[in-house]
Amino acid sequence: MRPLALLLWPLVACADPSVDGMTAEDWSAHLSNAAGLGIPEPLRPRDTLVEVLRNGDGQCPAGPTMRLSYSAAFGGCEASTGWVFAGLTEYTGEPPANAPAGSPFHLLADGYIIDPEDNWFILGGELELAVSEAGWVAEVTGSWSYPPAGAWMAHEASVAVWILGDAEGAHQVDGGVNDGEGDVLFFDALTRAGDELDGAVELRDSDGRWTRLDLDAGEGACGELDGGEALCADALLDALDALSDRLEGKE
Amino acid sequence: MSRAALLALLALLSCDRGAVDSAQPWPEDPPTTLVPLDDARLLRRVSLDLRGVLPSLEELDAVEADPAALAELRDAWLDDPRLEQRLVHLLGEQWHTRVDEYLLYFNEYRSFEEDPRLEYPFERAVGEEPLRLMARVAAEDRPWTDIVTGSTTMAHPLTLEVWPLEALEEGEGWVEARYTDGRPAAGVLATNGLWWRYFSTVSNLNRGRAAAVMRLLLCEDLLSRPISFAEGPALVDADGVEEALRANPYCQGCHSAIDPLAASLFGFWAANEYNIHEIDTYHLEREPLGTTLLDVEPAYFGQPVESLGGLGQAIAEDPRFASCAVERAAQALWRRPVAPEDFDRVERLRLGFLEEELRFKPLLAAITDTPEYRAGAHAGSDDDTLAREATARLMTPALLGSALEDLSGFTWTWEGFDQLDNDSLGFRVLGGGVDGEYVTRPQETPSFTQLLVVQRAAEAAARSAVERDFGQGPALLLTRVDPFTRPEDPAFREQLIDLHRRLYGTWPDEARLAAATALWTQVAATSDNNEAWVALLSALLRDPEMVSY
Repeated sequence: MRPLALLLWPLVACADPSVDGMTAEDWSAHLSNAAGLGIPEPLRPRDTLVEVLRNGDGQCPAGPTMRLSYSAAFGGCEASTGWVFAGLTEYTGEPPANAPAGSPFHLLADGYIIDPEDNWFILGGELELAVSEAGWVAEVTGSWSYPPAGAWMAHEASVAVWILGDAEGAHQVDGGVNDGEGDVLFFDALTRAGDELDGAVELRDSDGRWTRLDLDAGEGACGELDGGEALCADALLDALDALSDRLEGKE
Repeated sequence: MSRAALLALLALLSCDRGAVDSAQPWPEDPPTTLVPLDDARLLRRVSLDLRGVLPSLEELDAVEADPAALAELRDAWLDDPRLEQRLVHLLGEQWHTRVDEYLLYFNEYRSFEEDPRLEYPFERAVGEEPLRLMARVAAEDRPWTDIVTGSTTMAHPLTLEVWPLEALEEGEGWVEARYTDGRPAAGVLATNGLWWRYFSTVSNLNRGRAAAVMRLLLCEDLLSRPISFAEGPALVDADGVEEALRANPYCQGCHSAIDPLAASLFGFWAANEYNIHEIDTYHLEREPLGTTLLDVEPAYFGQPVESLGGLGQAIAEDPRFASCAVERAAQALWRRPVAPEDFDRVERLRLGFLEEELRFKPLLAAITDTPEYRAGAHAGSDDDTLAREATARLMTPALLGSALEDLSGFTWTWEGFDQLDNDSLGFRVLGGGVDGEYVTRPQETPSFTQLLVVQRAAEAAARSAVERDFGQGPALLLTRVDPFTRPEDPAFREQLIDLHRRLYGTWPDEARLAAATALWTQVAATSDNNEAWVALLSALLRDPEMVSY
């Protein structure tokens, strides 16, 4: 080691790690990828589960909501159709087939289902859609993934997202999404009213640093990235459009 | 001095927060009324504590010939591979991660569901992860701060199979490994094993975990503080409690520290704490959730931290971290809690720990030099000291197990469970051990069930020893006799003397030799020589001189 480097080494070793976050270009690319998979909402995993449970044989699983016996819950069971079901689910609400769009429900799940092509449907967490006169609240938390379900469930997704919708059509999204493909987002009171976004969106890089885009109502879908760079997140508007269409039964 | 050199020097000084202040006087070595063990019994104590086995006859001979050999042997044993296993047990008594049940069962992993014998090894694979990590840091003589800043962990083949881990070294047992789910470098704070034991719930929001961090790493036990609920809301009023935690001064006394610390742990916050995918993976996307749910920014006693990795760094720089490590190590080897009366002694150990750059082996060596460690009796009549000091220590079930295995080759297992190391199908607590959940300190004095466990283990080990030593060998205990040796043969007496020295570290008197010979003769008369050795060894192995140290 050269003398100067030797002298400066303690300074370098002691210094805080760089606080530089993602570049605006990187940030936009990651956001576009993530937004392209859609913002998680509870209907996709709920509907996928209902569809998948049709592959049971009446004995395995024993009931329409995969309420297995204690022993079968852990070891699972293999249906004559070749599907494997393991775990427990608890569903409250109208059966999806009979329920009008936007009907409230609650689903707790802990388990996995394996299809004959060896695709794993991982279900571990909570889904909820609650409705009141003031609007609705949708929650999707936990690990939900099944490649044939597509969109944000296509990879090993891990999410904790709450969505509030009011009677005037405004939305607020809180919480985080790891799409399993390298994009990790966090919505900090991301609010949409018309074509205006407020709140913030953060993206985590592979070094664990979060880079935040603060959005200002009145600036469309644009805001300021950590470090001061201006950036527009139009991809979010499209994702929020799709989200509200799905939750409000327009899709 | 150049500007660059001056800057570098300033940086060095400001970095070195844990360094010893040379101007600070070392406290006086406090007076003591403790009488040390003799050298051979002390050698036995050190060997059991550091290696989990009894000293050999050669090692006893060396110390009897030259007492200075004790320190040399002690230093060599600090490099013995068995030290790691001992530290796992010693640390486990305090970290309480070696429990028999977690929120989910091993067979919820599809690849394990067919084999019930995997239950016990899987439970230990989980609970020992943070302990093995600390033991490895100690064994490799790395700074103790690595336990909260390191980027690697230790993994068992079973957890390597089902958790997001990659091995960093070849090996059949525990290996150094790295998580592949992107979790920050934070040593034990980033291990599944710690958080499977100290789980949180949806409503607790990691506060219990934060309290565990403070207790385990800073020796700040919030539950020991008086808590007044007089001014607070009813505990059934969930919203009222949440509000009180943020605003009520009684609650804030603890929660001003707990909640910001808890906010840094949300990568481990599970949406369903009973789901394998939720609790074996770190959730990158939930890291900022603590701020949302707890309404505070992540911080460590007022100092903002950016992530779990930042929390580990902050703990490493906290002077309480080193103090706590010293206190816990002293407690482990003194076999009793550290009391306020020990302040001067602990302070001396702490300064030495800092001087040795927070390396654990020199700390262990220093503790074995203290009068409290070497205590074998009391000369004074100070009631407080008499009540406090452990002049004789009781072997834990794990220690008994490792010592018996070394002596006889015997391991006590059933259905894959180590009978001295679990309570699902074994006798760990009945034998005086810690289950980490309901029993949190090792038993200090004998009990009825402990004696029964020792008796059964001694009987089985004795039979195993005779079968081995008179069978395929190599002989471990009965090295001077064969199945035809009789009491009148000189080798018989020599064997009895060897056994006493090997098992107890003492020379037997004539009365003990006569009693042992009488027992052997009585059994041989009604059975045969082999059974006589089984009976005699069984009695010797469960003698109080054997199971105390």
